[in-house]
Amino acid sequence: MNEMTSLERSLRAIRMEKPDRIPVIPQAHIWAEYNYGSSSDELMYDGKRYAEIQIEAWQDFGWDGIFVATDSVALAHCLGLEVLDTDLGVAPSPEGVLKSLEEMEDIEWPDPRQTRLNEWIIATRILAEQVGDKVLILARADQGAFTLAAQLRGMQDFLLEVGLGEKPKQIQRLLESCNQYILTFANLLMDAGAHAVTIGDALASGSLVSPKVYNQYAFPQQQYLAEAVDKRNRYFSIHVCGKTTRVIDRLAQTGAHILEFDAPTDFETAWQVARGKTCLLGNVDTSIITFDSPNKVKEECRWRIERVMPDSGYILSSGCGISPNAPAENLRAMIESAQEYGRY
Amino acid sequence: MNKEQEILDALYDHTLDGEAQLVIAFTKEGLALGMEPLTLLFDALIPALGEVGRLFESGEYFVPEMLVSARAMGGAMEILKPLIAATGAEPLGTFIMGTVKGDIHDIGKNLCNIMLEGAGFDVIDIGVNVSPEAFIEAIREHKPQVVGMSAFLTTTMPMFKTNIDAIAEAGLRGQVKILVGGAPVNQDYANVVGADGYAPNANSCVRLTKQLLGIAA
Repeated sequence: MNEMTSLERSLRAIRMEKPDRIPVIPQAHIWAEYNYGSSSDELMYDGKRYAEIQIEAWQDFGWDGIFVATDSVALAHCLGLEVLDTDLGVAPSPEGVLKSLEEMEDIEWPDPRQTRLNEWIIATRILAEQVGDKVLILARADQGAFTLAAQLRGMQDFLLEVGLGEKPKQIQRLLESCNQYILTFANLLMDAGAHAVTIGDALASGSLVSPKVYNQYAFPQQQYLAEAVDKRNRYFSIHVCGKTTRVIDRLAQTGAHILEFDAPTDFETAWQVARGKTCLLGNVDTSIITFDSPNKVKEECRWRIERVMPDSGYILSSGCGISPNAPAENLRAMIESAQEYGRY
Repeated sequence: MNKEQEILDALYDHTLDGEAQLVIAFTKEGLALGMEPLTLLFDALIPALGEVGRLFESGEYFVPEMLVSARAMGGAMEILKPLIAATGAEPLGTFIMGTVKGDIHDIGKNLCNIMLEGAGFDVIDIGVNVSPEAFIEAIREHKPQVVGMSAFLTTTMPMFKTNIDAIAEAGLRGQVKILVGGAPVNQDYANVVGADGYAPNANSCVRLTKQLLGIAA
């Protein structure tokens, strides 16, 4: 089979059609920020530079997709949440911005284009215009509703509210409002040319909440977004950190076209559930990519590829965002693995 | 069954179910009957929280359920703490807990704190995004037996080694046991950075702390 473009290869995998080889999209966007002379702090306010850096990294490494995201607190930040500066960009203040669920009535929902979210839109547009015919552009619409609501209310207080179960209607209302805002942002990213929009919903991870809570609160919101994105003939992806083995079947039922699953989730279970239904993207352990050798990385990539082939519907990736401290050789080892072991 | 046992059973069950009001009511009732605060703590509340930890480890409880149970126990502790302090009972030890620099994740750390306090330790929480200098300062000030460090990200895990090296350089390494934990951490990594132990969850944090200090489980 002739060599395909990265875009064609990735789209085929998402549609469960056979590409020339398994696509590989390490989640190396934050890694690229720091290893190409910048930082999340800087790039969250400079979408143009973000796009330039990601293009440069893509040209150097030849992965099959480019993620757009500078941090995981962008929406909440724009909705008034205080953020803390860390060495690796901003992080949400654990306290949240809402002292109670009732305070959600006071939230102002600004036009994303009037906030720093616009930089993600600009980055997406530049990427789409310059390389969007060659490589898959996956723009994060930041966090899913469950995680965004938790950031706004304060993670621990929100999970306590969920556990107490005294205010399910208020929780639902907050989730729905968050989801509408996420969709507004997602639509702008799709307008800018993103092939796929993706949300991170770490708090809905099976490591933190029960399948019952996931089904009650996170699933309906994710399903709603999946349908909305699908109607626009774009692809919707969900990134869930941690262990999602117990809810992976439900994640597949949301209608998401791609599931970004993390290393603690059992690969075999995920593959059995997702095979033929949704494209899996993952789940090489980021600790291995950061701290181990290229040979070990290759070994981890190889058994995943061999397990999946000759089927399609799999994109080789890390389980989560790759640390800027990871050696470049380990990223190259991922690309080489797809090229060496992943040909159909 | 005698009335005292009924109260202990009710406290255990309602802590497990997270029924805060009932836990407070039975605590008050027990005290009114003349039961010792330490009996209520060691024969009902601590075993209940231990069971919560066990249920979390086995995948039956999750973070919301743990928080609800901890909150229920917290209500009883507010009543019991001053009474226990008045008896002159000593804590099992002092534990300093913090999330490493660059990392702001605090739920896992907070759950460990609750379980450790419940088990009878004096816990000093020095917060999130804690620098090596702040760990050292806290060790000098509070003279803990154990220091716990949490990191939730692959990007911040290397701070364990930075902290442990800094503590050693400050000449304090011999005075404290160091435990590490957090989602991406494992025993191998704990060995590599030179920690004394790795706790995958709050329950094992208590177990390991007791083990390291030679306290019977």
